[in-house]
Amino acid sequence: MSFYFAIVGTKDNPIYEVEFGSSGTKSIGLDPNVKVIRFKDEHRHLNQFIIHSALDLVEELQWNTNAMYLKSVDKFNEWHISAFISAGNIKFMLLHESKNEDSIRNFFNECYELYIKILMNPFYEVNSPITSIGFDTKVRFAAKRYL
Amino acid sequence: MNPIENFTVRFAHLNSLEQPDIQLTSQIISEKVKSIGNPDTLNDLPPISKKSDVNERYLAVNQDDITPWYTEYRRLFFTFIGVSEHDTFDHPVACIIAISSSNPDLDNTLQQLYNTSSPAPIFEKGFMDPNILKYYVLLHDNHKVTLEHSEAVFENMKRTYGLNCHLLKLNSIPLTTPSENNDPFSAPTSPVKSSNSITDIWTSYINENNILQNLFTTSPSTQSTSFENHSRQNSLTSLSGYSLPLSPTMSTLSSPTSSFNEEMIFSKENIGVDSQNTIGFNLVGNIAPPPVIYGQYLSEGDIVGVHTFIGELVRQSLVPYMERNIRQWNEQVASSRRGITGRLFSAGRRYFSTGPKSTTMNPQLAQSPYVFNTQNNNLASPTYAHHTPEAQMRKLADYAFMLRDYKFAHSVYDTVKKDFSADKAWKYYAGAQEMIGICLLMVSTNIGNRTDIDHYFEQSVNTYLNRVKAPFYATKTTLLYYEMLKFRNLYKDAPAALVRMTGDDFDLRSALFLEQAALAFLRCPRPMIRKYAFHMIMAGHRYGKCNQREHAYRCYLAASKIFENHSWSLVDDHIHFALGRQSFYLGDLDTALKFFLKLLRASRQPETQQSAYLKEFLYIYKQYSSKKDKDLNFEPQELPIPIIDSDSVRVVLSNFQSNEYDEIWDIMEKEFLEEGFTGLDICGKPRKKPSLLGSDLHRTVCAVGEPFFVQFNVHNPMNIQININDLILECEYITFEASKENSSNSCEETNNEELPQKNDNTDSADIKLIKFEAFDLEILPEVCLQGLEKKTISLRVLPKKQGTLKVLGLQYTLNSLVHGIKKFLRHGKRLNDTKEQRMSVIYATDRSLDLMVTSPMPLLEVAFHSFPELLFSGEVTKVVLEINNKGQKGLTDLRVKMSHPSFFCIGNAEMLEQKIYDNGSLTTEKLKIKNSIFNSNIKNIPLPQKECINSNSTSFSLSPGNTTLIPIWIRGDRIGKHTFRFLFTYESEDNNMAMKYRSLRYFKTTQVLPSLKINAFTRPSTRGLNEFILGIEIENLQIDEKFQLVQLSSISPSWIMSPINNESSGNADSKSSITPRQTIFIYYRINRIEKHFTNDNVVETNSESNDITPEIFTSNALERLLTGEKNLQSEPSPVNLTITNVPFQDHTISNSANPLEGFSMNSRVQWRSNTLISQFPFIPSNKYQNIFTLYNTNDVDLALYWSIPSSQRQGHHYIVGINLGVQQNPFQGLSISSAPNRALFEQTIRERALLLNSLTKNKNFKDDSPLKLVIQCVDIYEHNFELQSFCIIPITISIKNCSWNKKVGFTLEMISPDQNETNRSNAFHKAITPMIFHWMGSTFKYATLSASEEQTFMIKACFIRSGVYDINRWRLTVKYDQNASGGGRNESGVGMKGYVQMPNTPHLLTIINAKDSWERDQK
Repeated sequence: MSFYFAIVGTKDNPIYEVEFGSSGTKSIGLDPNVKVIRFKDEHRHLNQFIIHSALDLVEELQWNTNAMYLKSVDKFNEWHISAFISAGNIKFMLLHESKNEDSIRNFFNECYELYIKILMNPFYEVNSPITSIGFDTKVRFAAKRYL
Repeated sequence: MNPIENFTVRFAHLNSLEQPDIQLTSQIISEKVKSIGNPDTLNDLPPISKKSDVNERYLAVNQDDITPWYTEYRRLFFTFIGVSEHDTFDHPVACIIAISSSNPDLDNTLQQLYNTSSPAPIFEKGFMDPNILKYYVLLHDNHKVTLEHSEAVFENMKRTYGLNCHLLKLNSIPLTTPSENNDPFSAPTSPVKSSNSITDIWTSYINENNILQNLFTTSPSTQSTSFENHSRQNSLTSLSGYSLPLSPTMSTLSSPTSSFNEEMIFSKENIGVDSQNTIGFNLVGNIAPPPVIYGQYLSEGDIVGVHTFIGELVRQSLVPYMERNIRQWNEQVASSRRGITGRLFSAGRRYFSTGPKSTTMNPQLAQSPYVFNTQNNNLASPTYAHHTPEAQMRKLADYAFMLRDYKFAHSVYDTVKKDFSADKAWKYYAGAQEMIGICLLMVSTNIGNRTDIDHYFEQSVNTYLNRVKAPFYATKTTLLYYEMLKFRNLYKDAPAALVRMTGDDFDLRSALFLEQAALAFLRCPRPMIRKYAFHMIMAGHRYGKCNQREHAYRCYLAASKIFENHSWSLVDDHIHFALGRQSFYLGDLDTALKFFLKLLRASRQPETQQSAYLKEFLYIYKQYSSKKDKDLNFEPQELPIPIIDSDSVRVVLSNFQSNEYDEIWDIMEKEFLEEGFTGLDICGKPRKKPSLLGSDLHRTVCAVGEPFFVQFNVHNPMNIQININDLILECEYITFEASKENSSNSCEETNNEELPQKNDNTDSADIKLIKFEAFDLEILPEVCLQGLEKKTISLRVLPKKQGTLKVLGLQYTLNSLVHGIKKFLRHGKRLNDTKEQRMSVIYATDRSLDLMVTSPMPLLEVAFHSFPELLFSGEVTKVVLEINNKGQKGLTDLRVKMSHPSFFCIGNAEMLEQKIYDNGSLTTEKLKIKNSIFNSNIKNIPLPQKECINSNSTSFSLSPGNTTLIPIWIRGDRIGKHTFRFLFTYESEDNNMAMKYRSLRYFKTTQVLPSLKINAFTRPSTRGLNEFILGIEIENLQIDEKFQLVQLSSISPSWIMSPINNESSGNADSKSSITPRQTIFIYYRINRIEKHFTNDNVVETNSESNDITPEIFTSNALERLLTGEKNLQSEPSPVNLTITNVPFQDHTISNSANPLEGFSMNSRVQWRSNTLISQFPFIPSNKYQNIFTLYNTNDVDLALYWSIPSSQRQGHHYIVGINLGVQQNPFQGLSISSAPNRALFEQTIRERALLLNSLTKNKNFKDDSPLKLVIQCVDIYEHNFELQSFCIIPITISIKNCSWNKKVGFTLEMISPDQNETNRSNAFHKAITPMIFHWMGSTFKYATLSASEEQTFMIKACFIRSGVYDINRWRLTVKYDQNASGGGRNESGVGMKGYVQMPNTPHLLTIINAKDSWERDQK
């Protein structure tokens, strides 16, 4: 089980990225129909591609619902992309294999809270990359707990 | 029946009906796709980088025009589609048999042409029905036979073959060159024609035919006969409803209803001589001679004839034939199948049939090589012979579809689908599914249930792919579906359908489809540009895999526009790498390098990846440079690695010192500027104060011949090691004249970088210097940077000419290959003056790298020798300062500012050998010094006198290259760890306009340990008025060092010291050595120097009589300060110091020799200024010099000398500031009334009030009573009370006015002990007061004393018993004499009146009864 989590700013720029889970088991190739799926080093860029392209669907879906959690918005081969959109139009994107909406929702909510705390930092500028180590460890911890 | 518009027919040679050669066609297609570049339409459109770029202008362009390679692919694909058993769209419907009317044996030939017993090879496979409509065409060639003959023959034919006959007239234009009848392919002789345009209608198609044909022949697997009919592709285009340009045959069709899908078969054998005239497609030879022009002799009438022929064919024969068939099959097969019986029948047949499904097949199929999947797949998929009901059903549906009865077709497909599925005839099944989807798309006007349709297509594709393993047909299905969707504007569904067909097997197809999918995302109702980008990337990736470099590059480039500036780092890396690589393959090395340079950066890529990037970059660069070397315009590039932090770039001059404590140095420099330029310099000229230490021009100034360093930080952002070689600075030299008129376009620029004379001269050190005309530059051969490493590099520059030197940047070679350049981009501080500047970020221009080179200057280098790291507090050692002039000019006026002036004493060069504690013999020394507080921070350092040529100007200077040694004594003045800073300043002998002073920073650290702790206390002696007892408590704080006291000295203007008891020897050693942790006390007596001591002194005092005492000076100065007088410039008069040395041992240390004198003065100054700062915080410290004096009259300083014999250390401690006078406010407020209350500014008034207040009500100065009183009498008095009952003893009382300026009136009252017993709280007194005595005579005394006046009275006391008496019983009431103080203000008077002095120590007098003693003696 591998996950790729990214927070995307309002200008389509990634402000935070993390990969976790048991890496090296599956990889995604650039050929969409190749079935072996693994986060390999040489294919890590694909995570970004997939998440980025899923933003289109997030933009489409976000006006149809009041919820922040948009559930699974896109699919790339076996991979699902779940999204969560904050009030400030910051998108939380998770690339995952299995559908487990509740745990993902919890994970998103936790991350959202962490993100709010980052936002409250007067030295943090919206849309700028999050470099806080504390944030990183907390996100990883949340991932361990929920995913 | 509704009319069918735009009915299209296709013609093909019967023999060319082949099953497709997939491998070959894909080869041809890929060649073709490769050859098609970017269309012009794409260049007009702006690149898509954001959503708003997908505007109406973009959408207005037909998608086929954006991707012509796809259009071409589609066209070729359908060209090569061939026949298949599972659908009948490519099966012939009718057959045209053409014969020339010139044929002599018409009947026989016709028989041969269509011989049912030996049909065309395609029919042998059994799935195609050979029983089709035959249509006979008689061709009339005007050149051969007459019309009458032909018509006769035609009549004959009609009779034989019925209605399906036609006479087609051709070649109505007369033949001009009859000789070439037999060779139709020979070069035409340009016949006279009315309309050339008509004849041209075939050429383009025939040409293409030729190209295709050549492709087939050149490829090894070619079957030479399988060239294709050109018009086939139109069947597809018309199907999808596009009005593409029709083939000439079609366009000439004028009939409103023409057959939709029809095969016309020309039998090859027949055509013979006239073949080119029939329709002109069936070329016999493989090699088509290019200059052949077909249809040259066709007149317009002939063309119209062809039109009518086709129309007639379709209208009268073809469509009715098809309708007839539909009706027939519907009745025979389909209806029965639809009924219950049919179903039962089929079910029964399925379940009860014994044999496998292949029984229904044509027996020929078993051995036919064309049966699909039989050879390579065990799972034999059944093939239906043409007469089986399933095949007929399919044909029925296809015919219905062709005739556009989609609903009916749909129902038939739906029925037959089940049979296919039950028979596991997957290919048929997939075909049926496909057709159902197409039918649905064709029929429904508003498509509600799109997922349903998609489902059909998906099933079809999946079946083709997975069960039949026929991706070719899956591709066909997808293409059809996609085109249908495009036609219906349902772009949203297209990507999913297209992506389904992007498997691993055909990269080109996948790439094309992905690209189409990407474009389809843009045409969605809401454009999805990110999806577009992603699919473009995937398409580019696939294009790259199948060597379609140009397309790959284009796709990546298009996608990169969207990812630009979004900092998806891995994505960026991937795109840049792909773009770099593709452009390298395409031969565009410039672009390739550009993209690879973007990869060389900090990234999340693993090390291996980064090194791969670097390796590839270097490889490409090597090729690039070898290519560019020939072009000779080889410019170094800005490389992204290593990163040079422009902010860190700075120029380090050779006289630059530590930069660690910048602020403190800055403060010192500032102080130096304030303090150091007030007096006169060594030659007696006044010093001119520069605005900055160093240079006046706010520019970095360096001297010719002095190297400076350019320092900068280099950072390797990547994880891998990189090497930088041959680092050299890029500098620019502007001559002095040019820089002076700096606005004039910097006229004489000489960028010496390109100078060829690179004669590498190795410097004395390992530094390699490259010589240029105006400067030498250091070249650093190699710097190796590990991954993420940061290094500071400094490169030496040696200026050789006066002028301006600009450091522009750095040139280097990356990994010994890539020549790179880095400009130093620095900006000055941010400007904040105007509003505009505040609103935006504007920086001042930076000039720190813009150096001014001046004439040669001296350059100081100093070194301290034997500088101690550890000192005992008070210890003194000698340090030698080595001063070296490394510059080009003489050095003069060397001064130093020290952070700890009290620690140091600077000697002369001659004193180098002098001992610290010189043996002196005098116990009293006299010294006359200037009594002013001097600035001890800044000291001159004596330089050796220079042997001048012109003797009148004696100058002290250090010539270039010379060294001198100066002794400096250091004394541990304070405990702790100290960092001593020395700021040296000096001048050049020559007057350098640009740079007057240079400075040098130097620092040393030393730790000072505690040694002795000394306390001194004084107590008035009872022996006299001018006598004090001095007690000194000395504690050894060391644990293991034994201190030996050597000498105690006192320094004072008016007091001398003497030991209390003169037995100096004896147990001197025990008294003067202090073992660890021990404390000893020693006592001394301090006396005032008597004025009439010696005659000399009297003379001296007389001569000094016009001098003013320090107290008067201070008081006057303060007064002047208060009144605001400006001229405070007067100096206090010199003071005579008397030094008394009391040695503990035999030898005496002279205190007036230099190191000691200097130290004592330093300590004094330090102490004095520090106390003044705390006492008078309102007086600025720079005025102390003019207000206060160094010594006041009654000040005593003590110096205690010690040594540690065991470790050869010696030192001394100072006790500074013992004041034996009466405490008195230095400001006496004499003429305070004259202070003006008005001032120009309120500020000054307030300041003055504050000052006055601080002076008059200073808490530090509580005025004491100025009077001192001492009672003197004998200590023991023997009196025989039996002889005389009263013992009367005279007692001397001396009263002195210690004030230096006040006249004092006093009342002295002698008190008898019984009177005010109650007042006495002193326990000591209580114990002894019962002893009562009486004063005799007047007990009150009034008198006035002027300043320093002393009066002595005699008074008698009467005792009646023997005993011990405290005779110190008096009360002194002091009053200032108002008149004498000169009408002072009331405030001051109030503040000083009413002193009441009482004795505080008993003065004991013992009276012994003499008789008692006598009696004792008797006993």
